[in-house]
Amino acid sequence: MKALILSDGGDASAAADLLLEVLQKRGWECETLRLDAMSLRYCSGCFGCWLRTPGHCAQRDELAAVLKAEVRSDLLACVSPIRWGSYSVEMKKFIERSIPLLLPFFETFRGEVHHEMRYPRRPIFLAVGISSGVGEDESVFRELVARNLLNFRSPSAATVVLDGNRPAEHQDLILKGLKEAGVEGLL
Amino acid sequence: MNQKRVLLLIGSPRTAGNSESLGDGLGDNLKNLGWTVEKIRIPGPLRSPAEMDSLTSKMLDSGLFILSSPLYADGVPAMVLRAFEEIKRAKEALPPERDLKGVRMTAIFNCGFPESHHNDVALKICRLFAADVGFHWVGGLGLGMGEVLGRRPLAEAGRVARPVGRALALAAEALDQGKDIPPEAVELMAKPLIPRFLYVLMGNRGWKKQAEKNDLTAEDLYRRPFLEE
Repeated sequence: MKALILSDGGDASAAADLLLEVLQKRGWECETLRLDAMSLRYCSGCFGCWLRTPGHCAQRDELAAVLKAEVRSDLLACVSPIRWGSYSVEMKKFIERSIPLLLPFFETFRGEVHHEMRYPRRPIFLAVGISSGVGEDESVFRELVARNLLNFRSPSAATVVLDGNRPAEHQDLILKGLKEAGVEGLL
Repeated sequence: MNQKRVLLLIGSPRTAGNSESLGDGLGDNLKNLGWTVEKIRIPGPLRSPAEMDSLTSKMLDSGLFILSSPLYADGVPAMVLRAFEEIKRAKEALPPERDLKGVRMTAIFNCGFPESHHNDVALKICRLFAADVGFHWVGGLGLGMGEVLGRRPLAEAGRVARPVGRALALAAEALDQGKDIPPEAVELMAKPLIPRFLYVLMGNRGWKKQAEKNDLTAEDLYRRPFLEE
C-alpha cells in the first residue's frame, strides 16, 4: 500500500513525520514531500488542464510529479497549518492545482453539481490541520475539507485537527484519524 | 483613514473576468454615491514587494476593503491568502494604539457551479481573516453560475444579470449608510441566474465546443495521462 504525505514545513512537517512513522511501522510504502521546499506556481485559472492539455496543468513545474504520485497512491495525506480556517498558501496552491484530476463536465453528486472524476479511483484522504486554537478556525477548516471531498471524492476520509501547543497529543490523534479514514493495518 | 475611500482587490489572475465585473459593479455604485474607488488586481502585488507594500498601505488607509474573487477549490484562492498574510504582517507592524475597527471589509465570491452556497466557506474564511486583522466584517455575497455573466461588464450582460446588479446596488446603498450587507442583497445574489438543468446542459456542451477550438475531440478531454505514462 502506498501513501503520499504532503506537508508545509514547521509543525506540519513534524506531524507529517509522526504520520510517516505510524504508516511505515504498519508496512506502508510512503513518499513524503515538503511543499515549502518546492516552488509550485499559483493556479492561473486558464482551464488549460481541461481544454488544451487534458489531465496536465499547462504550467510545467514540479506539480506533474506530485499528481502522478497521488494517482498511484492508496492514501493522500495533506498536513497543513490552519490560517483563518483555510489551508496554508502552499497547501492551497496544491489543492487548487489538483483540478487536472477532474473533468470539466458537470454531474450531480449528493444533490449538488460537481465535476466528473478523471480517474477511476481516488486515494483515501487524510487532512491534518495544525491549529493555534483560535476561535472558529477548526470548524471552518473541517467545513472546507468536507467541501473538497465533494469535489475530489475519496472513497473514505478523515480530518484531524492538532493543537499546535499540545504536541504530546499529536500521535494519538493521527492514529485515530487514520482509523476513522479506514486505513488498512489500523482497523 | 478616508471613510469614503474603497480599496477594491480583484482576487483573480484573469484580467476582465467575472470577479472584476462584479467588483466594478459594486465599485461603480459606490462612486455614484460619492466614494473614491481604487482597484488592484491580485497578480500585481504578488509580483513585487513594492506593489505588495502599496496594497497593504492603501488598504490600511481605506474606509472599506472589498474583495471580489473567484472561488478556488472551495475556498479563498492561494494568491489572495498570500495577500492576507501580508496585510496581517503590515497590521502587526502598526503602533499598538492604531485601531482598524474603522476599516470595514466585505467580499463577493463567484463560482462556476450553479449553487451559490459553494461560496459559503470562502466567505467564512474572509470573516475570520477580518476578525484577526481587526477589520469590521460587514458580510459578503456569493454568486453561483458565474459563467453566465460571460466575462463582460454587468451592463453588457443583459437581463439575466439584473438580480446581480440590484444586489450590488442594495449592498452599495447599505455600505454608504454605514450598515452591513442586507439580507435582500445576499438573497438576490444567490438567486440562480438561469434554471440549473439549462446551465449544466450549456456548460457540458460549451466544454466540448471549446475543446474543438483547440483541435481536440470530446474524447481527448477524458485522457488519463498519469495512468498512461
